[in-house]
This record gives sequence, structure tokens and C-alpha cells, in this order.
Amino acid sequence: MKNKTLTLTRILLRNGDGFGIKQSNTGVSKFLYLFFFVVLVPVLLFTVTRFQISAYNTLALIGQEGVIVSWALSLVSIFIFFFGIFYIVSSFYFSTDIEGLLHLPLKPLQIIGAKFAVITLYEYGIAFVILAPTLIVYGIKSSQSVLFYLYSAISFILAPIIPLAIGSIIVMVIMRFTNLSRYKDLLKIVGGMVAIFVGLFVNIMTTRILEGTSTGQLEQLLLQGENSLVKITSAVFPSTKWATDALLSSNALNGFLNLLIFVAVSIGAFLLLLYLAELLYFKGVIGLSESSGSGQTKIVDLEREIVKGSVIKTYTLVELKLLFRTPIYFLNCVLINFIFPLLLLLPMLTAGGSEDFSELIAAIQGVENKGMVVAVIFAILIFLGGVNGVTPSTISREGEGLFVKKYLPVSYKDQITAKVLSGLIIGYIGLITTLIAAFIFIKISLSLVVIILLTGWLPILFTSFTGILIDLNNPKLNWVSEQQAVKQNMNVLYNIIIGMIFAVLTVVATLHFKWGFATALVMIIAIYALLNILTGSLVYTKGVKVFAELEG
Amino acid sequence: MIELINVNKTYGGTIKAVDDLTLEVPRGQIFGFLGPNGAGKTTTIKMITGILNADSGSIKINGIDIKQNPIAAKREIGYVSDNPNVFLRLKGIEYLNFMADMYDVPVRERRERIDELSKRFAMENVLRNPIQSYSHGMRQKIIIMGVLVHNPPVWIMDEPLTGLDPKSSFILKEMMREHANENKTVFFSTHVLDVAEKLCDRVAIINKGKILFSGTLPEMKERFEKDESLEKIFLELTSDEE
Repeated sequence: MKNKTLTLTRILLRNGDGFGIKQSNTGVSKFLYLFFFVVLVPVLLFTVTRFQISAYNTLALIGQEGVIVSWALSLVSIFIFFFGIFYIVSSFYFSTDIEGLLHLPLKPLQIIGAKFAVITLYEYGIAFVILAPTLIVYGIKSSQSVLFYLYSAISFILAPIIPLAIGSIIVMVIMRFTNLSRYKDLLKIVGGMVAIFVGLFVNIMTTRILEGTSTGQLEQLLLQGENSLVKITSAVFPSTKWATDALLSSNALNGFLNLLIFVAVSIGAFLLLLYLAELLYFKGVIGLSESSGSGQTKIVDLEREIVKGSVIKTYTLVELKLLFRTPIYFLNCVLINFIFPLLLLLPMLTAGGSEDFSELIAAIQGVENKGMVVAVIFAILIFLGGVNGVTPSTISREGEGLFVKKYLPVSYKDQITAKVLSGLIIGYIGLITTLIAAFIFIKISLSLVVIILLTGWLPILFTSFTGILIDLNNPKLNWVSEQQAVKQNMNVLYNIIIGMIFAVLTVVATLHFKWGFATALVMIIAIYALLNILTGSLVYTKGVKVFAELEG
Repeated sequence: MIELINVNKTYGGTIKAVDDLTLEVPRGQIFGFLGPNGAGKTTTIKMITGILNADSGSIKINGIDIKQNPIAAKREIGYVSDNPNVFLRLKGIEYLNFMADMYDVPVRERRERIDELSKRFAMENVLRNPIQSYSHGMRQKIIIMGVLVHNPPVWIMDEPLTGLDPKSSFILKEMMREHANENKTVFFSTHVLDVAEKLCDRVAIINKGKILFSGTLPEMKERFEKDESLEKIFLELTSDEE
């Protein structure tokens, strides 16, 4: 008998169009694909390698070079944990393929096992970009033996398991209880949010361990040499300690023992997950797709509920309603606007002592640095605009229902306007949460808050334009699960990268030209206004034409 | 009225879905578009409604060319597709309001129509529920209501009777007749000859992208007996009835 979990894994991968990279056979799709693998990925690998070489050289002076290994492992664990939780909620509970699986004679552990395997495979991408250069740099620089590389390979393969297993267990426990009530639609979104916040909380708590180390102890650790600092950097995520110890003393018995522990804990975490899946999964997932609307029936109040609105307003509202009501879209496109400002502020709230923090505030409030404040806030906004994924998936999300938008008597220009507006509005939510966070924690001035409120839409509009341009030219319309339209859609990633590039350029330009507050503000606003005119005119000429020619 | 003149559509450069198709669908009659699976019915309908672009030829809706004046042409049309699984996250009433806004229907008119249509289709108790909670037939009904809310001069449907229960099916046929009696155009596709025979004033038969016949029902019967190629199609249309 063939292993059902493996068969299911293969089917799930194939059903999701492999990795969802090759979305269509158009020239644009091929170009983006090539650009990603031939330019962006190598550049990223090169950057990490260079960074780790210089980090190694500096740290080696004080005998702490092992920190680069523990740092990389911790970072990978945290990344996978955060992005994984979004993914797990979507894939285990909200993906439409579940309905096709529940009626098959499959055990919960087989479904979860297969879905877990698919998520793990995706996370190897993140793990590879950070771990591969780091381990090779460390291996060559400290002339390690073959054993180190063998241990490296094992650590790489196991790296996503523990963070994803912890994330899955948190999600399964919470979803088990949110499925009880009659108000399922609301609760499943709340459940997803709670899972993500619990994840954040777990991370803050583990980082608190760091804070417990006083400055005196830190200095002592530093002076000890022999990679003593590793104790702290590997404590950020619980499981990285064993992997780090295994890699750093791969030639000693201690290393081998730590590797054994790491392997054992990883397998244990996976088995625990499967065991809990048997207990919790079906109770959490069955009936989840039932709609809660079928309770009370009430006749529509004709006077109150039938109202007229303008075409663009109604169209935009419907776009927003679908984003808020479809759990997967809500988690990926809307909630991220609340999570990211938190993530950005997290290091400030947890790391270092309050001394560093107040110094930072003082630095921000210092007059000479204010150009930088403007640049950093705009950089965050453009990054946020890129990260929400509303416009780079706006055509893809239509899926096989795209035909409706083709027969409606609404010009493609107006439809594009409504779609861009929905991206702008969601991005503006992110702007407001970021501003609130910055106002409370970094204490930026009220005048700056007002200025940003008035001008902050410029960078968000820019990423909305680039997003819809990408999606119009390379839409992913053949999907079975809503998750594939946003999560496994390369267009979203492309727009995130565009956001990142322009965020970095904004900061670098401000630094390079040494712009003061007023200059930075005027220059950045002017530049983004110009960028908007350029991309906007492209959207309203070529974009409209492409939309008209699209055939679902 | 719908006019198609020398319309062509090829998929992927090789598969000819619609081949030099010329067809006239007059007002005031129920017009059935008949053909086996894969004959080119849906492709033709999608070109008429502006969902697909024809490679060549011209398509006019009440005299308005869909290519040259797409918005005005689309305003004339109400289209019920064979896929009712759209806007599932909206409530029934939200969907109807959305469609009415898209076709710019005045408030008074839409209130009257929604009231009347929901009663006729027995949908008045579920309009506040999300479409996702509807059964397949209810989803079809809400789509039909969304189309009729703007009282389209040209009503086009792709396999509208599949999946409806007998009662709803009867009401829909009744509405098609009323619509035609108001001197409007009613055009629908089906792969079941029996349906066409009972309902239509005129039919066109399409196979492999070509129109084999267009005319009234008695004319069709007469031709079936004489024409061998038509007889083959006749067998395909009758051998596997629903």
C-alpha cells in the first residue's frame, strides 16, 4: 500500500501549481520569473554572504565568531515561525481544498502531515537564503571538517520543523475552541488573529530572557571568548540552541550529543503535532465552512437596505467587503497592516535596555537627524504599501469569476480606479496604525503626524499602481483555493520587493544627500508625486488595454 | 436584437472554436441556441457579452457594436452565466444592490423589482444571508434576479435550466416568455433538444463552431428528416437527455 500522506503531499503540491511561480506562459511572466531567479535571489545570497564575512571577521577578534551561526539559525526560526503561522491558519483551516479532503477516508494525521510537509517545503526558501551562505562562510573561514557540513545539512533540513510544529499546535488548539460557537465567520477570523498574537507574545517572552541578562554579565560573557555570546543569541528561539551547539563543536562528542537532541526534539515535535492532529483537527475544521447566516431569517427592509451608490464607490466597497470577509484575504492583506507596525517596533520594545531606547528617542528628536525621520517613516510606509498585497493580487483574486468584470457595463478605467482605491484604503489603515505606534513609542511630534497623514498616501498609491500593473500583466487566475491567489502568488512577492527597494532607496538618498527635515520632506514628496504620475499614466493607458484584452 | 456577422474565434492559435459564424436573434421571441457539449455555444455567448474578444467579424447588440462601444452595448445586456459561484461572500441583498448600481438603476425601480422578484422566486427570507450559504439552485436564482433588476433589453443565458428545481424552472420559463412578450430579446443556450422544443420560438443549431441551422421549430423538424448531418446532431442531442 502506498503511503497516503506522501501521495496527498504530492497532490497538494501539484494542485497549487507547484510553487505557483510560473503563472502563465506570457512573456511578462517569464521575464519576472527569470529576473527573480537570475538577479534577485543571487543578489540576496551575495548580500547575506558579504554581511556574514564581515561579521565573522569582526566577531573573530573577540572570539565570538560562532555568533553568526546562532544568529542565522535564530533568525530563520523566527521568520519561519511568523510567516508560518499565517500560512498554517490558511492552509489547515481556510483553504477550499479541505472540503475536497474531508469526505475522503483519510485520518487527520494524514491530512495535517501532508499539509505540514507542503508548508515545510515552502519555508526551505527562506531557510536557504539565510543559512546556506552563513554555514558556508563559517565552514570555510574556520576550516571545518566534512562532519560540519554533514551537520549543516541536517540542521538545514530540520530547521523549519520545530517552529512550524509549535505554530501548528498553537493554531490547532485555538481553532478547536473557536469552532464551538454559532458565530463562526467572525470567530474564525478572531481565532486566526489570536493565534498570530499568541505567536508574537511567545516571541516577546523568549526575548525577555535576553533582557534578564544585565550589562555586567554581558561584559563578562564578551570577555570569555570561545563563542560564549552564543548563549544569548541562540536563546531567542528555544530550539536553536542545540543546532548551534552541534554545529559549533561538530568535532567533539558534545556536538554529536547536541545534534542527537536536536534531531530527537524535532521528530518529537512532529510526532506530538500528529498526535494532537488526531485529537483536535477534525473538531476544529468540520463545519467551519458552514455559514452562520442561516439562523434567523428576516425580510429585507426595502426602504433602508436598498440604496443607490455611485459605480466607483459601490465597486470599491465590494472589493473591501470581500477582503474583510474572506478569512484568507483578511489575514494576508488586512491584518498584516496591524502586525507589521508591531513587528517593526518589537525590537525597540524588547531588545536592549531602556537606556538605548531613550537614546534612540533623543536621536529621533534631535533636529539634525530629522531628515532621516522623514525618510524612515516614508520607507516604512512604502514597505507597508508593498507588503499588504491588495493590488498585486486584485486581478488574480477574481479567479474564474473574472468574466463578471468583463460583462459589467463599467469601463476598465473605472474598475482599475476602484481596485487601486481599495489598495490605497487598506494601505492607509497601515499608515494610521504605524503613525499611532510611532507617536506613542518613538514620540514623534504632532506636526509630523499631521504632515504624514496628509502626504503618506503618496508612497502607498505608488505601490498600489505597481501592484496592479504587475497583476494585470501576470494574473494567476487558475486557482482552487483562495490561498493560492494571495499566498502562492509571485506577484505579491514582486511588489513586496519593489516596496523594499524603494524603501531602501528613500533612506539611502536622504543619507547620501544629507537632506535636512524640510528638504527631505519636499524632495521625497516630489519624487513620489512624480513616480505616481509616471506609473499612474502607465496604469491608465497600457493597464486599461491589458485588462480589456484579458480573457479568463 | 443580436447580430453576429462572420465572427471567428480561435483558441491558442490552433483550435477553432467559432468558425465564420453569422446569426441574427430577433426581438420578441425566445431564441434557443442548441448544440452538443463543446460545440462553441459558451464561446459565442462570451463574445456577445464582451467577456471574450472575437478575432474577426462584428457583433451588434440592438445596433450597438460591442467592440466599438462596449459600455453602451453591455448596458443593453443581462447575462446569466453557467457558473453561479460568484460573490459568495456577499449577502444576497448586497449583491442585488451591487448589480443595480453597476447598471445605474434608480432606487424606486430597484425596490419594486427586488420586492417582486424575491417573492416570485421565494427568496425574500434569505436575502440577508451570505450567498455562500445558498444551495446551487438558490445561487442561480440570485444571479437571475441580479440580471433582471435592470430589466435588460437583451437577456442572455448559458444553460439556465440546469440545476433548477421544477418549480423554479417553471417560473423562469414563464419570465422568459413575459420578457419576450414585452418585445425584448431572449437568447439562451442548451444541449437538450427537449427543452428547446418546449420553450423556443426559434432555434439555431451549432456544431464544431459552425451554424448548421437557424429557423423556427417546424422548419427544424422538417430539416432533421432530410439532412443527414443534422440527423447525427439530432441523435447527439436526444440520446443523453437530462
